[in-house]
Amino acid sequence: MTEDPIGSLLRATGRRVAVPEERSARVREAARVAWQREVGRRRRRRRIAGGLALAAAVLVAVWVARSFRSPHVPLAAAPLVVERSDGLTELQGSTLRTGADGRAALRARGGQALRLDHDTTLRILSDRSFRLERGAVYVDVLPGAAPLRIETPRAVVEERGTQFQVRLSGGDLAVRVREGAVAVTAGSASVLAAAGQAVTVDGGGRIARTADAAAGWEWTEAIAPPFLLEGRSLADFLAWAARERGARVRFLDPALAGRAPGIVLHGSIDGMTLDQAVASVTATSGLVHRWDRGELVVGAAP
Amino acid sequence: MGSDERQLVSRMLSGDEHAFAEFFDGYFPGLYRFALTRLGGDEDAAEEVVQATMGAAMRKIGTYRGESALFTWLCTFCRHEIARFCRHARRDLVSVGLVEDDPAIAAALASLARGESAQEAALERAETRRLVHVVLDGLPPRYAAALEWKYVDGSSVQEIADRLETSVKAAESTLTRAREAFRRSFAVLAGERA
Repeated sequence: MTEDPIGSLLRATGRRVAVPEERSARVREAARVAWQREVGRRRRRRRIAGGLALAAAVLVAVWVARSFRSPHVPLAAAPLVVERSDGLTELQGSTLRTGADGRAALRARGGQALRLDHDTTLRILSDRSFRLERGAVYVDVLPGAAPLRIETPRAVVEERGTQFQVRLSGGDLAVRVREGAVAVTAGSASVLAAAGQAVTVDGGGRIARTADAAAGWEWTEAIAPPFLLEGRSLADFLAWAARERGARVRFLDPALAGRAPGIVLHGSIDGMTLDQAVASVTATSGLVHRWDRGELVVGAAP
Repeated sequence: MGSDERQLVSRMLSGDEHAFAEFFDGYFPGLYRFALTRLGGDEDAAEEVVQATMGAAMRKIGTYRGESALFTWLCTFCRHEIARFCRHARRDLVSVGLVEDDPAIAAALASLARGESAQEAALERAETRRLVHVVLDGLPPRYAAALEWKYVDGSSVQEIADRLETSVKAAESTLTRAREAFRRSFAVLAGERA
């Protein structure tokens, strides 16, 4: 008998059971996202080890108020927690500063979130009042939280329960509102800007309100604090993701909307971009999604 | 093969998309079958378990040092996820006395995947089909694929070389090593059951 016995055996037993394509695709996507997250985490760790040790140090809660000098604020009343830092170069007394590549995300005790873009200097005047001296700050105040006030050399910006960003560029100030409304006061002039509007104040103190462009919010996502996914509901996650982009959640199927609060998620999205996180969670939950004109639209996978 | 697998992991850690694809395509199907067998053929459960396994393995991929074959390393995570799944689902583990769950046999498969010698034993009996597939899943993915292409699909060496993106001579060499690896591993498995 000349036939290769291994060949006979393999021919007789046939191919191994194939994995259904759709199952393979779902697991591949989840594994790919987990892999990318791990690669990203290791890269960030190397960057930190390479010279941004300070950024790592401030990842733990930092009680800024410890060296607070303002007589208006009780020390224990004005803590800021650094939720994430990709290069907060200075955290002294009441001044926060990021460098050319740095960004930081902070949260005040009242729940208000602040994010600092590159090349930004922000002084803390009180637990609800800040002075932007350079760069840009994004503010997210959930409904019900105490309002915040951002002073700048050009104007004072007071929020009314909202998401907005304030940017100093050259001698000009630009305030952009994504949700709610803010009041911008420059000298004796005051303008109220609602969602989708922007207010500019030039070096001469002239104040103008215009429609806002959609782009220019990406940096706020890039420094977003991590969302702790483990044990949270699908509804919570989608609401968080939509809010990060100034959008609302819309379920294609009312039954899914009803089930979402009871669907418990497991794992982690640490290190993912917002798009990766949403893609991962929806794909692994048997859902599909799309971003459509201010909405995160979610439905069951076909 | 240990060195190849360490290199694969090293490329993955550097962010190489091709390496991830090679890893997933090479190891996911075997891992899925590994879970499927132990979950009584429940495909939904197998998918959930393997997805959790992949997530856990990716989080720990930087700790892989090549002490065991990569598939064996992944199976360690998979066993843990199967146990966790069964606890949560209040389900009993399928108790079928899987021959490859025997530590001695698992070690033989691992040594095979590392390209080390394994003991000779006589090929005897039963569960042949499943054992053949278990052995194939325990081989380095290129070996298993080359054997299936050659003997199940009837592909020529030239076609196998094309699919492996290598020369005919290298494909012949791969087939020779794959046959030898299969023969040793199957002999060990069959021998342990005898």
